[in-house]
Amino acid sequence: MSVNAGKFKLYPRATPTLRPGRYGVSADQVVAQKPGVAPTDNERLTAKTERWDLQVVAPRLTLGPEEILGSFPAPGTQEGNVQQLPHVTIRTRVMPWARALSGLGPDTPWMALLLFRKSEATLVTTKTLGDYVKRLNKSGPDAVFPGISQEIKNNVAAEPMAWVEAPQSVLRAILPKRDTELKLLAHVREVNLSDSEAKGDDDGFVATVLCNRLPNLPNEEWLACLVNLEPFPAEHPMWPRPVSVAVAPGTTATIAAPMVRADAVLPMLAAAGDTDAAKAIEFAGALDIPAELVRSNPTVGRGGPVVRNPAATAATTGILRRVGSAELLPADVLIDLQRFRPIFDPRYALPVLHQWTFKTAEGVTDFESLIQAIGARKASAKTRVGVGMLGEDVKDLPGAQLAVSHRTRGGVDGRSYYRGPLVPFAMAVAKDGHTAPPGFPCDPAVLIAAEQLVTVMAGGTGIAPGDVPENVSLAVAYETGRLIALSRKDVLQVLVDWQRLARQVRMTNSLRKHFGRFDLYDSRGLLQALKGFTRVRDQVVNPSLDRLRIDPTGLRALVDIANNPRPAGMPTDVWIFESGLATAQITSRTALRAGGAVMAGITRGDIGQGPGVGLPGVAVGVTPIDRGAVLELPADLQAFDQRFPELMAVLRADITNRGGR
Amino acid sequence: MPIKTLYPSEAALTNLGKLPDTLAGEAGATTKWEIPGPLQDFLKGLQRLEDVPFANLVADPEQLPPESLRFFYLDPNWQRALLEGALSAASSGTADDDDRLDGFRKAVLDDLAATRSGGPTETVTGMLLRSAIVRYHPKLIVRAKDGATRLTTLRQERLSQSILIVLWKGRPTRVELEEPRTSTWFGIDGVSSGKGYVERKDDNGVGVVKPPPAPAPQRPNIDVVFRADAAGRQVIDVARLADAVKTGTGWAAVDSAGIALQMQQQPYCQVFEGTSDKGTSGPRNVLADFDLVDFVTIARNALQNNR
Repeated sequence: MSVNAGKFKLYPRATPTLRPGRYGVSADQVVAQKPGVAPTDNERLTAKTERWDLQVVAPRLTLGPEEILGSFPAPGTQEGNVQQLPHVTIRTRVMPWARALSGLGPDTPWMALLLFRKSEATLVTTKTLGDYVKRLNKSGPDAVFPGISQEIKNNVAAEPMAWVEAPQSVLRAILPKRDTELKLLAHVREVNLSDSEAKGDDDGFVATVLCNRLPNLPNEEWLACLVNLEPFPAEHPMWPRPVSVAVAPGTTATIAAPMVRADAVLPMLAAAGDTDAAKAIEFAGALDIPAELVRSNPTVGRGGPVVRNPAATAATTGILRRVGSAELLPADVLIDLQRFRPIFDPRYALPVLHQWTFKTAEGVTDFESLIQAIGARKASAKTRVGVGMLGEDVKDLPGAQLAVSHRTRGGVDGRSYYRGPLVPFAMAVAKDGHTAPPGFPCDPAVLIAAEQLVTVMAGGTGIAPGDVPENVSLAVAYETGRLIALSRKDVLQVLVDWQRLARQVRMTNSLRKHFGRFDLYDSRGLLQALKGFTRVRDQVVNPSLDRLRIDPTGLRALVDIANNPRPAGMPTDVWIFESGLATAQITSRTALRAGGAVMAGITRGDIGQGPGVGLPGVAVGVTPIDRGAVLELPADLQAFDQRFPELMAVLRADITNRGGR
Repeated sequence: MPIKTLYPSEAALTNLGKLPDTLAGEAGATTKWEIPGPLQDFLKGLQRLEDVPFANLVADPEQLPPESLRFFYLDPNWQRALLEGALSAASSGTADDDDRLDGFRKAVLDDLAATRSGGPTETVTGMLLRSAIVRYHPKLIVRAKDGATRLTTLRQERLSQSILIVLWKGRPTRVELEEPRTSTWFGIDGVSSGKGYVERKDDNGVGVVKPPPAPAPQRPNIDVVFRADAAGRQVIDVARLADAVKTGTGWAAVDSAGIALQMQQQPYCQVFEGTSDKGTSGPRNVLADFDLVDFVTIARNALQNNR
């Protein structure tokens, strides 16, 4: 029966069959032979009429959290929208119509959602019904809420409640009109139970009470109160009503006016039904007005304080007099209504069923207004707000280049051009993953430093005349990528591991090529050949350096693949490496001089530095492989064994595992 | 020294024999190396410019002033340089960068390109939105379409409280920015002028919108009048609103359900479309046109037929 998800149906109200209160139920029994035919006396059975009482209850002083399905804007929100009306959703669909306001029909709800600025009202909590009755100066709970002592029998005066106090002027401004507007602000929604709107609901019907006031001030704190209007009959002065009162023929004054003629004050009090003020007058026979509230009326007399207007002769208010004087105030002097307000503008207390606070955002938050403001304008060099292509309106050189300050690695300050990755035009893409896109300044295969990506451009805006500026865009990209990767420990670890593994395979293959002629199960020859590579020792001896590497030296792989066929096209260089990020290598460029046995050099770091320092005592004569020479191996294996016991252990273990000799 | 301290596990020992003969990409390569997942994920993220500082994306803040929207293409060169830089991170010297490692890099880059996740081999476009919208509507829905095809969103992320970046694979001809669907709300438009309005809805709650390309102000609205208030409060004159609804809709009577229907706001959708053809045939292109201003339709479309 319920509506589909995402849809809803609206109903103007849901009136309860029974309003809260006590009901009597009586049941008579008639037994008849034929339905609809009156029984004969013989057929009539005398059954005792059953009577019992029924109590229909409904909340009256407060709505519990189980009844409130949602409050909007969300309680406590700091960025409420100034263009959206607060509303509250109630689980029991008949709730707003469960009670009736005196003199009004069943279509008018008994509650209203009022919105106050924090400064306009005072919330009074943790009070009881007894306190409220006292606050209203009434005789008892039933005088405020008719029949409540029937509904709440046990110590009704102790029933907890809260109320909100606000001046009459505020209430009159914000309360919905009792007879015409209240009924337009509450409705029933039928929603799908799976929708967020019905979250917490049981039957798919919820009641919604709308507020009639916008929280129209940005960055302001607001108090939203769902109030019970029962205690306030139509004649109560808090209800909105025409505020103009006749002062004298042809003139009017409104309540909002800060200064009002003295003879208008009394009619205003009367119109406001201000009982407090009326009582004061009744008691004293007149109202003493402090002199500072009274000004002469410049339209009829001279300026200056409390000057009786000679032209106004004997006309007085007849009831207002100055403090400490028997003199009645002239009718045409002006009274400062703002400061007269405590008497003139009494505060009323409204029972609060549910309340929450929120704050409005600093500026416009409305999606529609904001996006329209953006969408309505095309960005240009002059007006940059609005829509456009990035970098098209702000640039120093065609192609969306910007001139930026740049200090080179050499410490020279200058200006260079830079363009980020986001450009205002389409660019050709690369044809596959490893080929550079068209326009890439160098072959990525030889790319080892950001500087390789720096290009030189013709000078332009923002560059000193005669300068030949660089374009550092891609160099920045390269360096940025490098720094991001360096900042990611996990990624760096993988990169190091995989680069290491890659080298390892190369090394293994390379060794296999170079030393493949030896029987590796009789590894003495190989070990002797490796004797020169003392750094192997670090790998094996100090496992903390490489505990988790699969095959730090590559020797295991070497042993394993020793008898495999040699692949074609192996590089001619021998690679070996050590822990950490550094690499040592022997290449024909650094170590092997063509034409004779030389010292095997091991260099760290930059191979461009030339041959490294040979390590004393571990030199081994090597003849370049490509010349077809055979390695000469020293015979002293015992010394080697002692020197690299761990390495030997590894190799022996491998040999043993494979059933070797 | 015991072997176990050198190697993580027996399984690893067994696997040692299974190293490939050659590197992928090398001559005679027979074994494809599997690129580790974390590395691939990282590089995919990098392709989407994740972790790239904002100053590197938009070097001059003037390019993206407050309350602006900018479309862009992604420069494949920049993207490639970024990837190369990241892959060079494990190298500490030139020896590590020797071209003989090219196979590994090639393998990684080819693998990455094969995922079709918006790398330098593909046309990637996007938008930057700097606006209070991002702050107040963080779940903003952004859709890009090429004709009828919806483009894959590679990334949609808030870079700061007020800046949103979106990347798409491909070139859109139409971009839609839609208000996120949150709870029900009732609101009034245009209140800053002191007088508000709501968009008129028909009996089914569908906004009465003229078919595109109707410019914004031509929508049929219902005026919302506030009570006269010297203190500047904006309290709706509900009785007059009911009259306006009655006049606007032609309903015989207006009750609270009718008021609620008209006051309830539906998600707003702003559409950007290319409007000038630049003399080429085929679908018009939002990005190629550079002419995005004439937003074509304004459709509150999410709650259509919702009543």
